[in-house]
Amino acid sequence: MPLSRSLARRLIVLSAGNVLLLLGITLCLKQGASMADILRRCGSDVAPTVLAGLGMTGLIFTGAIDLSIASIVVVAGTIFGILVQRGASPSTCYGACVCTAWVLSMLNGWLVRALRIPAIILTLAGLTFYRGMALVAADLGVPNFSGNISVADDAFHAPGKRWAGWILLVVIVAALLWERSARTSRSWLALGSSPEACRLMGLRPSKILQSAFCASGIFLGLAALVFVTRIQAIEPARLALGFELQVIGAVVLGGASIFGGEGCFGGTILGALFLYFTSQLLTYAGLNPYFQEAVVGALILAVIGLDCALQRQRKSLEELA
Amino acid sequence: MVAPLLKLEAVEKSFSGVRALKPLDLELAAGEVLGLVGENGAGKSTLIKLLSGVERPDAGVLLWQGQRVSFDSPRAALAAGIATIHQELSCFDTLSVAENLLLGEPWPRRPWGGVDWDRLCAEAKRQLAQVGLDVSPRSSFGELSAARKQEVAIARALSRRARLLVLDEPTASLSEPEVQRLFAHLARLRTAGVAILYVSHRLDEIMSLTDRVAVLRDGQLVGLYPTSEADLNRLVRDMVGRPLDQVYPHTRSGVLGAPLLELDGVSRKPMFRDISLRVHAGEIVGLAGLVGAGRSELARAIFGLYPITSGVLRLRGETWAGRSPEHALDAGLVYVPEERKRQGLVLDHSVGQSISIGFSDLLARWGLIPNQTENARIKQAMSSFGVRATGPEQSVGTLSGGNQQKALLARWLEREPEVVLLDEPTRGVDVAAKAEIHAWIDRLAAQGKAVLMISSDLPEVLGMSDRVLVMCQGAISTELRGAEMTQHNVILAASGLYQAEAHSA
Amino acid sequence: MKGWVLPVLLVLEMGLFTAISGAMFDSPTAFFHYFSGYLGDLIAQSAPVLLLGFGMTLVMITAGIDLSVGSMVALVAAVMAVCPGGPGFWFTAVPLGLLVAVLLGLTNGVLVAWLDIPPIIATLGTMIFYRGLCFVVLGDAEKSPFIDVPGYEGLGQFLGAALLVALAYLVGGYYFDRSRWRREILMLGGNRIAARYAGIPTGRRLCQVYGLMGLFAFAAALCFTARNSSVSASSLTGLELRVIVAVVLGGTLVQGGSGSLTGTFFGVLVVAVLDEGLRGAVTWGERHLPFKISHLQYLLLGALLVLGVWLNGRVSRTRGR
Repeated sequence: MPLSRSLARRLIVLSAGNVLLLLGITLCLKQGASMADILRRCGSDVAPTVLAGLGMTGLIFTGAIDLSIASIVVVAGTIFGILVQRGASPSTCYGACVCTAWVLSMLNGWLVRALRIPAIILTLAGLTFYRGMALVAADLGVPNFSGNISVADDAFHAPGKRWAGWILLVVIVAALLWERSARTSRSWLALGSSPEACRLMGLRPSKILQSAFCASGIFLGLAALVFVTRIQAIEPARLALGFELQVIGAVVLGGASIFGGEGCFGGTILGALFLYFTSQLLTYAGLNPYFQEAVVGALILAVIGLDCALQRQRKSLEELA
Repeated sequence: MVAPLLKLEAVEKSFSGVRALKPLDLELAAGEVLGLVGENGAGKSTLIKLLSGVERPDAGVLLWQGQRVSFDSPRAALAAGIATIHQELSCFDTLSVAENLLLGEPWPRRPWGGVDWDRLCAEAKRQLAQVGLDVSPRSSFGELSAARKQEVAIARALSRRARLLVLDEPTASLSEPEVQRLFAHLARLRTAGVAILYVSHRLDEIMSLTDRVAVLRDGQLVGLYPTSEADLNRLVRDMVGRPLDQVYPHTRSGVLGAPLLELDGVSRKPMFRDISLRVHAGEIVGLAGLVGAGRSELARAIFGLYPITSGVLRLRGETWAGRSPEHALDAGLVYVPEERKRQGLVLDHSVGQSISIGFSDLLARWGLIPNQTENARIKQAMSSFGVRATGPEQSVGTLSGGNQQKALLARWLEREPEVVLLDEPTRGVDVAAKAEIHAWIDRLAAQGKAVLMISSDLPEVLGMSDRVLVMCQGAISTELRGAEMTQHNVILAASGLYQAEAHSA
Repeated sequence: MKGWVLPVLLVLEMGLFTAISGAMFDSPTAFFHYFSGYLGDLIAQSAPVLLLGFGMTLVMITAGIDLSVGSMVALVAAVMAVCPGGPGFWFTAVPLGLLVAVLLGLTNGVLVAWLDIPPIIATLGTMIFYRGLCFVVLGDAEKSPFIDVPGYEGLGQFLGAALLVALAYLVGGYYFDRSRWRREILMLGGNRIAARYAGIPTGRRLCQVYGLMGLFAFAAALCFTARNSSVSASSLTGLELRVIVAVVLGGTLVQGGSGSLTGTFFGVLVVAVLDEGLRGAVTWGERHLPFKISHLQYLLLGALLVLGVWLNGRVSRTRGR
């Protein structure tokens, strides 16, 4: 299905922006660093954001959101760490990591329906609840837990360090193909566009929402896997702090409407790349690293602000009528 | 004799104590076009809700294709073969036309499981062709014009093999050639054996399109005859034929003061254009017209919710550039909105809260409102406006429609404004409350206020007003005074069919 | 929630944690002594959250939310921290802090009211942005000029904190309760369209509400820095969640239209007692629980938020429409 004009515009702007940023980075490169290095690292650096972002995009299509993804990653990572320490095989650990994330995501979906609480509030609670869950699990599962679970053995770092780029590529291709040829993502957009019309057409909003959480869980599981297998030690109290903001930033930059009903996976990917290249450029340009977060925050706000301001003209008259 | 496709036997429906449909009997045959007319509140929309499965009848039997049925959801009605094109379309603006047509059904798949978009679009194209629509199935639904959207909705209804098509005010936002195209579709459908229930205010369309006409009044079927035996006069008489001796309060002296509200060539395209009117102190001016004529938009613009693009507004003789509703309230102008639930009240708030928000700024000293004074005023307002509730703390959402409306009126009238704009002041209100509200409106004029009353209730607008302005498609088509003020003339003028020779029926 | 639930819960909580901490009283005076000390400490400790709770209640009444409060307080504290200590502090840093705080709050207001960005997204963005600015201002350093300021630590102790809280809740609360302004924001949150029809200047009111939040952030920054006497760029992360949980527990509805300052007051205390209690129960926890009791904090906070919203939802559903 063709994209709307505004979405197409956004994709073009992001692509152009990404190219400009890459040019900028090339210009700022000092001796010793090369473009090829950067591109090689790009895959594994940006993989968790992109992977989680794809899942989040589906949720945002339906008009919901998941603020607890960072904490879910932490739980998955903690389970992973515990299993590593207990001598499980790498594939068991990887599997457990992915499954944990999926289960928690499904739990979010179920609770939103069962308790009839808006997803945004439930997942805000999940943000802290799951982190606590991870800490308690670490207490119980790791003897003498002192805040860190060390995962030093390189055998367990394959997904994050060696396969990340490939995982990312495969998932991106699969996701884009799936978006084009599956009905599910269209029903997500339908739900976000008008839950009322969904009901009238005989679709079931609760089933559609659950499927969005399910897909988000799968993507999140892979994101968690790549995330936790890149580091030497898992610190449940501080791991992935702020991750959800990056992901939401990428999705919203990518043109998805926060109210639901509009957007595309490609936009999220471009948005995540844009944020990544921006911070890389700032680093290579020698900007005080402390400015980075501020600049990224301002950037996200500027893009969203512009988007909302443009939509405002359309909305204001309808709102009164 | 072929059994009728649809038969209603003694069907009744009430909402919060107001009887929307008294026992109603109706029959519709396949391939027949039945027109349904009646004023607002006559029961047309209730009947449509029952047929489309949005509501269920309180009593009576619905027989569809000879079988007794009960639709527990819109989907059930659709599945049974009754398709309704509502006034407000429920659709997905951000999706494509094809998806809007086919989202409720299984989609064609490729062998490996993916959606076969080409076949999907081909199917969509086929359905669109049924109504002669040449729109690309891949185009975005939101970018279509209102007319095209409606046509897509019709195509959707037809694709479900609907045997009965219910159309609710289908031509409200269509231009003349689009209307003709719609009629061509309907003619095709009729030859194919589909029954059509055509609900509309536009009497000329009813006359040209339908086989039979049913007239609803106060929830009852008061006329059912072949269109060939009908004419405008007969329709109008049946629609409004209330005993004309219904008395509306008239304690005001009829002596008019200075013009408090004046409009000169006021426009805001495309909502309304070139409006000139004057409301004097002590006068009630009625504003009649069909839905979509631009009356509420005009009132909102006067109140300051929309800016006007040209023309002059005068309050008490002085030019006034109303910039915002706050500004209007300070200047002594109030607007009681049309939809009390959406535009007036916060349903979870208490009655006291809902009323005092209208005047508590007047009580405030240095931003503080003395609680005792406020409570006293609320109680006083509730009693003088007859708001029946267990007390000021009762949640306003649990009040009856009539009491909610009275609370809303109390809110604004307690301010003692000078110019009062009323938008459908007695819509959805029971008879007793109506009478109380009418008494209040008359009292307003008696106190020397200027009242502009928008109403679709013909007896009300004629009985309460000193003169009536009729709007049609954004402009004032006629002003009726004295002997010209008849329901007949208003209806004709609202459709733009009024001839200026005096008719008094 | 019914009015008596929270105070009763509070008393029960205090009883529970006192019992766990093993405090013994051999006479009524000792008991009185203990509790007055306890309450004094409690108020002083929870003053920042109490002040922020006031502001957050106002924001949530308008159907909004402010996720940036933690970053706001940190930034205000950071800005004050770069000023030199000494008596001049009261004339340089403090007014500066106030100015900055109000500006930060108004920025949120402008984003929400004029650009029409949904509050959760706008404040998510400003949360990142303000935090980034904290890093710009402080870098890696941890500054503490507050120690050298005469009279400053009074704000961190019972008297100073109680004064600020009393000023807010008693004076401010009284004025608020009787004000026209309160009725206007209640209507704004309950039905924004109806508020416009009622002549309420919705844009202006929203700006004021978020601006006030900035003011409370300033007051909270004063209390926080008086008590902790040093601030770093990552101070106070996670503060916003604590505040939101407290406000929701107090009976304020997330969807706007109603709110209670008394409820917020008790809600904050319930959460504060919980925190304090968990901290004091560490030794007990070590003996009886297989996991660290401080980790329970996260779990309980999340659970409380869900519980609060769910209960509030049930109450408003049964009240009928």
